[in-house]
Amino acid sequence: MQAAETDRTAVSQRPADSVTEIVFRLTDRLYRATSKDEVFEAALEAICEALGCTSASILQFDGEQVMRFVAWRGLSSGYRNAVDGHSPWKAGQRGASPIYVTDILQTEEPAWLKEVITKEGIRSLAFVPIEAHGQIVGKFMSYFGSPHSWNERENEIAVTIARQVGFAVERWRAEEARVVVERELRLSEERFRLMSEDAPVMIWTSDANGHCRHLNRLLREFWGVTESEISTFRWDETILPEDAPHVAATMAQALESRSPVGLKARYRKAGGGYRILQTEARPNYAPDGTFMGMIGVNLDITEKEDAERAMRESEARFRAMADAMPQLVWTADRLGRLDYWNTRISEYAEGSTNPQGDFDWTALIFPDDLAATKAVWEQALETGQPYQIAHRLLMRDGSARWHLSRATPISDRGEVQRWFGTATDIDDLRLAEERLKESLQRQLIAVEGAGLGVFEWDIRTDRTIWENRRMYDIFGVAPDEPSPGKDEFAQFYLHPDDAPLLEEALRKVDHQDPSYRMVARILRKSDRELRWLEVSGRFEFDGSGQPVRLIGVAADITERKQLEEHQQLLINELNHRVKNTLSVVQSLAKQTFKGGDPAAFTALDGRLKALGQVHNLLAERSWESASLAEVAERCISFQGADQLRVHMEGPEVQLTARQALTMAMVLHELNTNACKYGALSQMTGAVNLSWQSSSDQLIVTWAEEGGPPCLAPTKRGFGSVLIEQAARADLQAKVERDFRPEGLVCRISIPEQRVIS
Amino acid sequence: MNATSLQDRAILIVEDEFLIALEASEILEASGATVIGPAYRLDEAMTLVESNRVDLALLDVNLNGELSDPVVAALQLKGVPVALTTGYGNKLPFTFLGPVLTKPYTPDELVAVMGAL
Repeated sequence: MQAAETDRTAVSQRPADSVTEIVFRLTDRLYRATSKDEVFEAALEAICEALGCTSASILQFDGEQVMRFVAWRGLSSGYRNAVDGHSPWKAGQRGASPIYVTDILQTEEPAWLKEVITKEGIRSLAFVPIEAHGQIVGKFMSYFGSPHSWNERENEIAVTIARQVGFAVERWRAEEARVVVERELRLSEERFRLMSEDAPVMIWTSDANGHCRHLNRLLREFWGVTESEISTFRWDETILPEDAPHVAATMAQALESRSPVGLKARYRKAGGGYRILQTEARPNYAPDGTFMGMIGVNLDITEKEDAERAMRESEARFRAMADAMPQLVWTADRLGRLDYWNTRISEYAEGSTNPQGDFDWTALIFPDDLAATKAVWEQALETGQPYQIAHRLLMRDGSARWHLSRATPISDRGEVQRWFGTATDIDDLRLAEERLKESLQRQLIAVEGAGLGVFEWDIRTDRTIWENRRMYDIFGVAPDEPSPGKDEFAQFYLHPDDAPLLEEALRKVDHQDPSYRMVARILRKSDRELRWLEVSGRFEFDGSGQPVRLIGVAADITERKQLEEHQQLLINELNHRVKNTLSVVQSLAKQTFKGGDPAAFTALDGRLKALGQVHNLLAERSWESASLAEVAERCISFQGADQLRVHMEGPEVQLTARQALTMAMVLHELNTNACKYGALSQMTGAVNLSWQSSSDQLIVTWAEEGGPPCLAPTKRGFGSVLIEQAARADLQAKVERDFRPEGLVCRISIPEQRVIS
Repeated sequence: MNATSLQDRAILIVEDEFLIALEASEILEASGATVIGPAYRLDEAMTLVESNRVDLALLDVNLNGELSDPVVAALQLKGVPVALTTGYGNKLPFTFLGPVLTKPYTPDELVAVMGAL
């Protein structure tokens, strides 16, 4: 539609004050309008009244920028449909002016349009743009049934009304936007609540003052509050008092500056106990930009913190332990890059760190051992298997010391994660080992020299190891033959008569005395010759006290045995001859004294008999020793004295052969005297023979009682001399004789070292 | 043999077999000598040598396993003539140039040897 010239003729004039009133009423109605329809209705009424037209309409751009009828008065639907969408302006256009058409028939518009318009009874039209925020948003139309010339006043009225409507549209749009925003806000809050409610983390929102607005289920359960209690809930009171000041300050600062915040604190959980919560919060803005408080997420990191602390502690413990170890301790990542070593490193040559930041350990290895070390390490890395190598490491002082290096992979699901390694200084050990080896060699040579065979018997496996050549020679076994176990030894080698000796010796084995000794006859394998074997050794026991191993030496003592047998033969012969000689002396004495002094003969005969008795006793004991009790018994009993009248009491005391002979003669003299003159001369008398060991001497007491009154002898007879001198000569003993009236008491004190205990 | 030659002589007897010592003492005392001892052991003998006037000495070679040569040496140092007795034949375990009595000996033999010193 082309803008037409304005026809300013035939306009019905309305008084200015009534127009003002119309505009005022319009403003008022627009202000009060609660809906769009009320706005349009008020506008149409004002247009018709102010301009005096019979029909009018209001159109607006729709979402597709097409001008559509939104309100009208006195227009048919046919007309509205026909002209709908026509507009002289585009949406958003600025600075548009009203267009007034005096007579449609006088325009260049197409005939069909003129026909539609005239058919609706319209000849004159006004197009008045409605603007909001300076942009055209629609228009209102005013129609006249006859040609009408629009004057300036009508123009002012139209523009004033359009401006009022424009303001209303602005307000209404703002209101509409506000409603949308509010609804969106409500929706988004609702969505947020729904989404956060069952989230597996604790979610909250606060208002701008930091009070709780919303807590999701997890957080409500944590604090033990119901939804209705949220508005009055004091979350800050659940903070561990120690942490409270920090949390309060941090949150206040975040709210004040409206900035994201992260903090960690301990909160009391419903049901008791404190948990560590990690909070991440950011400012929460409404879609219109209003600051609404904070929105945050709480994570319970108690376990994580505990685990981390445990980890830190275990790490610290590991380091402390590693530093305390007398070894070089290191760890490496799965690629073999060293990432830790203990403080012992300071004792070693200084390694360097290469440009990649890896510690270069090759500088620590003695150059000759480097290739081998690298080879095992690379193989270990490839296979993920532990390794061990003995090599020399360079010390800080420049020396090289032997070390045993070990490394073990720490795997997770079959994948090596780290390597844990140690290097132990075995230099001294190695030296000691070498010395030990030498010393063992020397010992073996010595043992061989002594003609001893060395063997080891593993009891559990019944395997023997014959450790030197001599062992094979003793048994007549070739050195390349296997050594026998126990059963083969017992059945093939051991003389059948001596088989019980082996079992008995094994039965006697116990912890207290791990030593083992056996003398038995064997039949040598090479010539089946009978040989005497002496085996001695020590058993080793396991934790439960079972013997597990016997280590010992074996000697062929056949020659020694033959010598011993020969010696025994000689001793037996000698005993026999001594006894014979004594008998001969006795016979000679008897014959010599025939017709002589019978008392003298009796005395000599008694002494010879006493001597003979102790001789027999000693012969039975291979002339080694005899006990004091036995000696006393033999030399007292043969005289026919009532044994019950001589009470003997004392601990076990062994006497050498010579001491036994002397003691026998002394006791014989005492006994003879007692029988002749003392306690044993009467039936009422008795003798107490007792001996005790004191700190440094053995005291033998001969005490008589119940005999005739005892008198000290007037002269020293041979008996007395014998008692004193024999005791002094052979026992270094002191003899005290006390002739008490009730009986003789004779004390013989023998220095302890003179008797065999 | 001149028994008077032993009159008032101080004779040390060292003999571990007390019966033999006893007999020797009786024989020599009967010859007018004064017996020092008898000592049965080496240490006893040494003590007597140091604390008594000894004119002559009769020593057993073997004193219960100990040889009497230290006593011989001590006596010779003092210029005391010594005679030895032994039950082990003629072979002595140490060098000795004086007279040796083989056990068993008779009283006359003893007095003769001691008198000749």
